[in-house]
Amino acid sequence: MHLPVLALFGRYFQEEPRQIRSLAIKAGLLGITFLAVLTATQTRGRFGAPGLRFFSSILSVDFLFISFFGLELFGSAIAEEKEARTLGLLRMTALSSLAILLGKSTTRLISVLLLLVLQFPFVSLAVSLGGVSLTQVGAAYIVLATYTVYVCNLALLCSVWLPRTREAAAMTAVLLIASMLVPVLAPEVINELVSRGWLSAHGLAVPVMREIAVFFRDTLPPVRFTRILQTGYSGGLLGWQTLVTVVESALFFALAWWSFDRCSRTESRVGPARGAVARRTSRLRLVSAGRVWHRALAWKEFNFAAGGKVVLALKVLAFPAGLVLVGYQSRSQIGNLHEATVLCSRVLLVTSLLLLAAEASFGASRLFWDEVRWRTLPMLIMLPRTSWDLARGKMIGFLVSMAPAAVYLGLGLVLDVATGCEGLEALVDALDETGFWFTLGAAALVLHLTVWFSLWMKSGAFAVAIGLLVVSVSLAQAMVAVLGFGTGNMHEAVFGFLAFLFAGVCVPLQFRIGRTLRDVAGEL
Amino acid sequence: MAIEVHDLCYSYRKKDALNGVTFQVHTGEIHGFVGPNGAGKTTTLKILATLLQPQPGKGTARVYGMDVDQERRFVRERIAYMPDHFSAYRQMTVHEFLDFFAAAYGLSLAQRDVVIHDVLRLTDLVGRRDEFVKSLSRGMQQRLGLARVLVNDPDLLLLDEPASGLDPRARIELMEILQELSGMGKTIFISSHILSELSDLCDSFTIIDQGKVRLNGSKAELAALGTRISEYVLELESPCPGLRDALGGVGVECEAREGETRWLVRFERELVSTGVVLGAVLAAGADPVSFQQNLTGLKQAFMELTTPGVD
Repeated sequence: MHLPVLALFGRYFQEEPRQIRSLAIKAGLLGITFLAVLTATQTRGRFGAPGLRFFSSILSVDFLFISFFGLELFGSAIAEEKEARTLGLLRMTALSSLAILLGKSTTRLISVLLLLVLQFPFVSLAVSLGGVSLTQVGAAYIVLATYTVYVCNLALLCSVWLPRTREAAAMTAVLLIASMLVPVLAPEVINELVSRGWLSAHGLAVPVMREIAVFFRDTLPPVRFTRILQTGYSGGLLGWQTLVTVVESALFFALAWWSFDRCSRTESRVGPARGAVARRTSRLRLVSAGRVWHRALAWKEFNFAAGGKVVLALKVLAFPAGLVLVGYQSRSQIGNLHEATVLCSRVLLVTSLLLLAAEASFGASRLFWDEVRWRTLPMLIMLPRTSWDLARGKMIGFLVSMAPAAVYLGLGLVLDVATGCEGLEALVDALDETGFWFTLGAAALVLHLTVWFSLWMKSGAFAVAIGLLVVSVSLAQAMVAVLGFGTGNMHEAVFGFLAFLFAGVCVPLQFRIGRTLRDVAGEL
Repeated sequence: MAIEVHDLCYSYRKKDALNGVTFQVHTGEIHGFVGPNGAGKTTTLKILATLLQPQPGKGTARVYGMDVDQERRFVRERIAYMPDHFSAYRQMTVHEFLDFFAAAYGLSLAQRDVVIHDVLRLTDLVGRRDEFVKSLSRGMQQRLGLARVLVNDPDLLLLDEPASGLDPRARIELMEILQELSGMGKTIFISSHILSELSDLCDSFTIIDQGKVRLNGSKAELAALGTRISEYVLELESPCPGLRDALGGVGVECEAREGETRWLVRFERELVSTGVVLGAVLAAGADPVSFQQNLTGLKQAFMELTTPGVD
């Protein structure tokens, strides 16, 4: 019997292997696995429980891989059809809502699960290396598999509700982080409420809430991994986590199915979003884009890619709000003004550096991606300017939006110097000179690769750039380990050379980006 | 000369898109670039617009005497290109969109105000200046596209099938705007796969098919191609009883239409000139209102010059 849903399966499995992103991700993951195996076999004599070390590192990579790549992969299931305005056509066929949901999400789920299955024989070598049993490996893989199912169905729900892949991926990320944080923070919040007298410690409510929070905390994959990888693990292959995660996933799927018809009945025209930028003629003209700046491209990117004045104001306010929150949480540990200043400087240094890194990677992935996606690149290329002028104009727009993080970083440094440079010393300790240059070189390379990949990849440019970097660093680490350069000057020399190489590759990449820009504009 | 293309070839992997294309476009004229789908029109336009790089040793393309590859920055200052699909920043308002491009071309704030007002008036979008681009109808979006390419006051407009997808009214309005622009001294190079769309508008044509130019010449040259017989439409203020005999006397066949105020006139081009025909008309005491070449000949020529079937 021919099932219409098989047409969706067939289409996906014919197209997916041809996608560069898909190939790069698979090659990256399997490459990391292979390198980890190589490193573990070469260094097994130097460390205790090499199998456990090897398996833990693979588990971490897999967990991050599913959390990171899964967002966009699973989030695009229905949203990509909305963006291509083909969801209506699919609904007009013999495919039912259930068939569309299964056909679009299960295919993606199968491709990720197959990747884990493919990895399993290599990972089983951990048992031979010692320090971990086959039951532990199996139990951890079942946790990974159920977590994949969970992410897939959560993202599917967001994909049904939201019109764009990026929005669905962002919503999935927020919900995923919330689902991890809430069970961890809930017991503390309950304790706080009880200590303030807002909740009564007597009665059933508080113990029940605590038990529920602890129960859900124990089902979190990182908590389960820690338990499974403990020496002498006596649990079975399956745990409560498996059942809870499967039930949650089924609920997400049911909700997606229930809301599918409502959310896809009207097909709105998908286009670039204006965000919170008001019109000049509206009452909110204060937060309008205003007249175009002399640097027109900077004006456009600042307002329509980086969020404009509203997002800038939110960033300005977020730092003091964060400081107040952290200060309030740590009030019992702060004895005087000096300690408060040290805390402020550390919070500012860490958060502003993280935010700057996140904004830089976001800017790189969006620099020309929107122009390609909405087919506006030819209009820009036709301007009597060089590709470098265009890129610079756009980068200035993003840099303006990064100003709050940069200002707060400066403030954090000033406070740190005023309180004895403890934060700077910690940073210098963490990154020696080679490490500093290596980080700079790697960051420059990742940003350049992201811009280049975003010109011809539909999505995931930043992720693939990071993947490539991880593979090259893993390769270097494996080389260092295999050749016995683990310590001393040779280790520094290898990473110093890599820093130089990464920075050097950026120069030809800039020319390549310019050329690709013109080629892509000619094809649009 | 606005455009000079000589022996231009271009191939996408193994498929030849252009195969020795040669044609010229004079300054100030409206030139129709006509051919069936897949003939090589868009490839030629993209090369002229500096979006595609001509392949080395495969012909030359010059705009106002400048090589489109070597001097592309200068070429871009004098041209504007409107692609066959509407592309715009749909999240912007009409004014923001035009203001952005005016600023990107380096115009001062005062200049931008004047230019934006002028192009909005020309394209009849003044009342829409604060509307979002995405809310405009297809016809208005196309007019906005035209307004966008005019902000840098280009000498040459390269328009790739600007009327495709427009309803008849929007097409007519677009053609009127193009005629107005031509009156302002702009050279317009317009592509289409529908000859009749351009027959009233253009002064000259290039017909391209399968990557080869089949004809490059004036409208009259195209209409007369492949036949020795010229066909004209004569319109009179009132019927003239002696007209048939007068025209017959100079070797011209004629056929009355619409109560003898409209005549279809045919004559052998090598034997009779249009001056002789008009002389005979006046001698017969007729009061001519118009005397125009019959454009159905253009269609016939197009069909003869291009290959049957869709590529």
